[in-house]
Parts: sequence; structure tokens; C-alpha cells
Amino acid sequence: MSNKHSSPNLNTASYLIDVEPVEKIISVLVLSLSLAFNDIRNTFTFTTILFCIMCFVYVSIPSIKFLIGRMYVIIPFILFSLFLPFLSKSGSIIYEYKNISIYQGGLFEMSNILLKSTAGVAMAVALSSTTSQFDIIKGLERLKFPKIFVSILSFALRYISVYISEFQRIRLSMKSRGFNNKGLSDSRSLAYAGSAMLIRGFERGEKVYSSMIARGFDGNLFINKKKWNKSKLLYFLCSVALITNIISLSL
Amino acid sequence: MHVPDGFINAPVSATAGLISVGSLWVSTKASNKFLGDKFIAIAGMMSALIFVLQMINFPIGAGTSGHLLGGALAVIILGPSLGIVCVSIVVIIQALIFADGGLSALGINILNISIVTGLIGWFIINTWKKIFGEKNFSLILGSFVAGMLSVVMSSVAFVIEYALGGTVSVAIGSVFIAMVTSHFLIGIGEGLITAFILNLFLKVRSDLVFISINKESRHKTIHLKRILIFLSLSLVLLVPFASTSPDGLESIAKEFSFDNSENTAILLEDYSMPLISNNFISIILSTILGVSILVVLINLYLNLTRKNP
Repeated sequence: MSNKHSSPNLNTASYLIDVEPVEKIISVLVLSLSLAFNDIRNTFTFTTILFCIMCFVYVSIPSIKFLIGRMYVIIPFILFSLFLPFLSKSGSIIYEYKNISIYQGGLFEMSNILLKSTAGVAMAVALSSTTSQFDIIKGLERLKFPKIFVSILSFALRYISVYISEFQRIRLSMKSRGFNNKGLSDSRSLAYAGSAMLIRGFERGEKVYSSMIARGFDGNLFINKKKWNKSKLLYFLCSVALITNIISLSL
Repeated sequence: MHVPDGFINAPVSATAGLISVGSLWVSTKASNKFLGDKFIAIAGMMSALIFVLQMINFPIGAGTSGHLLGGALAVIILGPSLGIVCVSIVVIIQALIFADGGLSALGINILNISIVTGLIGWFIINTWKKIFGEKNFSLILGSFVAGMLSVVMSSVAFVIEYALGGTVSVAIGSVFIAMVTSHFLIGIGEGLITAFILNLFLKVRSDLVFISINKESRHKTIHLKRILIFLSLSLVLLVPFASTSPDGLESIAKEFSFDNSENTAILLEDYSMPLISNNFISIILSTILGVSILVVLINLYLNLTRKNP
């Protein structure tokens, strides 16, 4: 079990930390969608959007080490894409050595997946390192997401940390009783721990609901009073990405 | 299992996004109907818990380990609509806040991880309950099968999306074999864990388990049928992107030269309507026609075989 999910740390030194979350969410969406739906053979557009993304990531992260440490989720896909030039058989042969041959299409596909997936993950890391989880949800609320979804999301986020600490407590007590997770026969005790948590969670949900009713819950969860700044940089980056997209479409 | 950006092309990801938004809307409405306001608190708690349960790694053997997907478990314990909502919320949180899975592939991830596993798991456990009865032991065995097959079918769904709009030209056969065999192993672990969790649940709080308290399964299956019809109608949008090369049966027919299609007159040859020149619209129209014919036939069959009380 990794502890990385539980502590997404904020970069308080960043310039983007006080910028309104809606702007950050929209710019992340615009930049990553326009990169993901572009062809890598469109060199000019692709490099321009990539440069915009690098600017955004550079402004928001504290150090390269931090970024690399949080990008562990795409390691399997990077490994897969490194094998692509040998697997994929399209285009002309560039290099040949005995039985192994490298194809041009395979190289393009490798760089395509490598660049797009790393850029996407880096954008998400940048967003979550300058915006706290609840600010992201406030942003979603201002973007007119359905009210039900916003409230479920905020409940889920609030209780994730609670259940993580409870799960760590359970694991500690299991370890102290001599439990080691080795074979399939041990999955039984893991499952019992999980179901104990599920039962407690369901009962807790009912209690929380009745206490919410007691305090007069009417469906509205947020009262947002904080003053946010506006950022010219984000406007600039988004408009550059959109304009290059339009140019490449019209050509 | 989470698909990153740039793996599946734009039209297929957009269509998957539309499908998942539609089915999320339907299941939110349905769960709102049977839980009311309470739905918000319990759904939030349950998705937090499923998020944490996905962090439990279980060993599969040979030094690898998988983790729970939780779609079948959520559907068995919380019911089809609430289960699908909870797992989708988990996927959304992972994509937006924990950078797991690309933003442009969010629709694909929701479709694979929550909707396909949920629907398949619910279908299997419901039919199992009808065939083998409502005793605890049969429900536990059914949950093992449901957990295993839901993971396998989710990998199959990924392979289908890859075949429709993959940006990589690796042969589909090898992708299929790699994905399905690895997810078969993960599925065995998932099935075991689902069965054990349901076992303890049935012993301790059997009044919370949706599948065992749900007596009017007829009403719920009609609801499931609506979701299935909606899904098949929205899959229609995907059809024009499908490959235009002949499928397996046709190519075998050509190989053994019993391809007599020139001599027979078929109304909807190669899935296109006569008299309509636009390729896209004609393909969509003919698919809608096919789906509706199927639906009518199934309804006729159900009406004929229904016993009059």
C-alpha cells in the first residue's frame, strides 16, 4: 500500500496558488485535450502546444524531482511504449540488425504515446500541486457541474483520509498478530478487514446523514468567500493553444 | 488499467465519454429514486471506501500482485445504480486529483472500470440468483464468478476500444491475448476477495446487502433492460468508426470460396440503407433498425413465455 495517495502536497511558493481554480481547470482541459487530439506529424502545432504545457508545469511545480516522484502511475505505459518500435510493423524500415528491424511508424507511435501521456500526467500533477482538493471541487461547482455530483465528490474526498488512517490502523494490528501477505490463502484475512471497513462505513454514512438533517441540510454545501486573483499567463497559454489548433485545422 | 492520454483517438474517446455521461445520469436518477436525500452521504462514503479498498494489493503468484477494481462488489452490495455511481466517482477523483489516467481518456476509463464491470457483475449475480436460489452459499459462489468475469470483460472492453480507435498498430490478436490472460489472473484474485467480503457481510449485516434483500427482482431487471437498450443505442454512434475490412466470417467465406453474396439480394447489405447516399447516416440508420428489431423480438419472446397468474 502506498502512502502517496494520502498526501498531495501543495506548492505554496508558486505564482498560480492564488489564481481562481476555474481558470486553472479550464486551461488544463484546453491544453491537454488539444495535445491529446493532435497528430504528432503536425510538427509546428504539436511543439507549440507542448511548449505551452511546459510553461504551465514549470510555473506550478516546486522542483523536477517532485514531478518525477509523482508520475509513478504511468511507468507501465512508458515501458510498453519503449517496446513499440520493435512490435509495430507499419511504415518503412529505418534500421535493421539481423532479425530485429525498427519501423518508422513504430518510432512515431512510441513518441506519440510517450509525449502525450507524460504531458497529461504532468498537467494533472501541476493542477493538484497548486490547487487544494476542495478548491478543485469549488471550481467544478462554479463550472455548473450537477449539484449532486459536487456534493458526492466532496463527501468522498473528506472521508478518503479518514478511511486511509483507519485502514493503516487495521493493518498495523494485523501485522502485530503476525500476518504476512504472501499467498492467495491470505486474501481471506485482507477481505475480512475490507468488509469490516465497509460495514463501519455504511453505518457511519447513516449517522452522518441524520446529523446533517439535524443541522438543517438543504442541499447546498459551499459558501465561497475567498478572493481569487486572475492570471494573464493562463489566458495567453490557452489562446495560443486554441489559435494554433484553428490554424492547423484550416490549413 | 487506467488508460492515459493519447492511447485512443479522439472520436472513440468522445463517444465513450458520451456513453458514460448518459449512463451516469440514468443511474443517478435511479439511485435517487430509491434512496432519496440520504443517497448523497452514503454514496460519498462508499466511494471513499472503494477508493481505499483499491489500495489493497493481493498477490497473484509469480511475484506479481493486482488490486481490487471493486465494480462487481459495489454492485452486489449497493445495488446496480448506486454501485455504478460510486465507482465512477472514484475514477473521476483519481483522474482529477491523483493524476491517474488521462483527462481526455476519462470517458473510456469510466466506461471500462465502472460501467462495464458493474453491468456485467449485476447481470451475472442476478441470473445466478434466479437459477441457483437465494441461499447464502449460492450467492457467495455467484459473487466469485461475477467478480472474475467483470474484470475479464472490462479488459475485453478495452481491447474493443483499442480495435476501434487505437493509435498504435500492434496486432489486435496479441493485445487481446496479453490483456485477457493477465486480467484472468487478476480476476481470480478479485473474485476470491469479493466472495470473502460478501461472506462476512452475509454473516454480520445481511440486511445491508442489496442482492439478498431485493425481493422484487422483476422490477429491477426492467430497469437493467432500459440501461442495456440505452447502451446499445449509443454504441450505434461507434459503428461508423469500425474497420471497413471484412470480418472474420466473411474472410473465411472468401478463402473457401463459398461467398455467394452476389446472387442473393439482401435489404441491408454491408449495414447500409438503400436510397441514402451519405455513408455515415445510412450506417447509423441501419444499425438503429437492427437494434430495434432485436428489442422487439426479445420483447415478443418474453411476452409469449410469460406465465399468466
